[in-house]
Amino acid sequence: MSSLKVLNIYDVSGNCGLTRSGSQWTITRNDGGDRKLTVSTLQIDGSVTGNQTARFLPSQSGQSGKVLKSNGSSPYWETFLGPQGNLSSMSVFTSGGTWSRPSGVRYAHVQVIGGGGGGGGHGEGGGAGGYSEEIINVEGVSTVSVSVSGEAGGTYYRGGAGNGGSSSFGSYLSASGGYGANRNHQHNGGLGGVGSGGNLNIYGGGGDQHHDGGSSNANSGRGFWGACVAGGHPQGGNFSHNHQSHSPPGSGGNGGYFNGHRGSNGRPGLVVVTHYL
Amino acid sequence: MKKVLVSIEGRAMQIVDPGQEFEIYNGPDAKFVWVDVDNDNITLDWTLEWSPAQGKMIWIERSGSYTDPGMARQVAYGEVGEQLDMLYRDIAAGKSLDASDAEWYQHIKNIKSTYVKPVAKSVPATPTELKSYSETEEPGADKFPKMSYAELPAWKRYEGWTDPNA
Repeated sequence: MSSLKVLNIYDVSGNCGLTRSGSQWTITRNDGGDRKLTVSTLQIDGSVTGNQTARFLPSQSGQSGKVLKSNGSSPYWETFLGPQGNLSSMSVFTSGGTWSRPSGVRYAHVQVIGGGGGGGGHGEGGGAGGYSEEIINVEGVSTVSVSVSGEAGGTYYRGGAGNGGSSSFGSYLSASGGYGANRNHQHNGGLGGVGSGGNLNIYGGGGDQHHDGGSSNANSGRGFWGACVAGGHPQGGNFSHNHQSHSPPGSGGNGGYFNGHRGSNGRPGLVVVTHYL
Repeated sequence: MKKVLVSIEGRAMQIVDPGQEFEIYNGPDAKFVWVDVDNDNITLDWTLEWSPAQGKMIWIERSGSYTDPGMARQVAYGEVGEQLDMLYRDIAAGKSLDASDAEWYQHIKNIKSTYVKPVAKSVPATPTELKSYSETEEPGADKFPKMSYAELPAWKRYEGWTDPNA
């Protein structure tokens, strides 16, 4: 076998060719034109290197199961989130406490409702708790103090029922409680509470006025999570009051049917935190 | 000293001792805030109202929610069905309807003396009327509450409040 050993190979014009330097061959152009190599098939048995890293795949070592993404200038690997999106888990607070960011969670969807106001004794209903909702980037957050309203007492005729308390997710968003029956004005239902600080801040529904008992099955404030306890009739005794726990968080207390019947308690508040990776 | 959660309108929503207040949203568009009240007797019936005479917000010490005198009188008469039942019992007992022991007559008489018929007067109804009422009338425990409004929440002019966003 014979071989031809050269350091440079040029075309007939002497303008374009290959030049050897050490273990590397470089395309050279003596006329200033593009140094361009056109092939039909390129087989790389080793690694691809160079100063145009943005055009090359980053190392796949240790990136098993990840997907390739781009930030517009460079490619990078990221965890595959799966068909369920990046929904991760949920924390539910029915009383005060501390929220701690689960590992890897980047966003929290927080829903806060204040407590419902208590019902009166002659049909006056309590207002529902206000509602606030926000999506928060929690990457730089470790814990947040959570406050949740307890229930507010219902009362007998003419009395001012208890106001619902406020619920809060730290200083991010809060929701005030609904007012108790007869609390804003005598013989009037309580006004609903209101959300504050969230991307969405809305009022809770207000309670009905004096002596609607018996004419309505939902005469207290309807909150974000639903309406109040069932309406009562004297044949059921203090029916609404006795079954007040059968109603959603933040709803107002139902008014008693008539004199001598106690309005039901306003329901406690609630804070729900849904986590996203 | 008490910490009171007060609404835009000036209603006391929640009352706690200092140190028991919890963190809430406190941004410039907050819908309710904590304020200091230097009176341990405050109740949820008190309202924070503007006093034109004093040029400041003051707490109106109400013993209950405001009751319209005319409405109180009307409610005190009771249900028509109950009144008819009183009449039936009087008639069935053979009483003269204006007798001193006639149940219905005495009931009505008692209400007319207890709840003096009020002079009809209008209460502010529209936002403009409510705003004017809030800014010009002197507040009182026996008066229709003067509520503040979103453009000027009750705490903005309250001496016991400092703006955390200033």
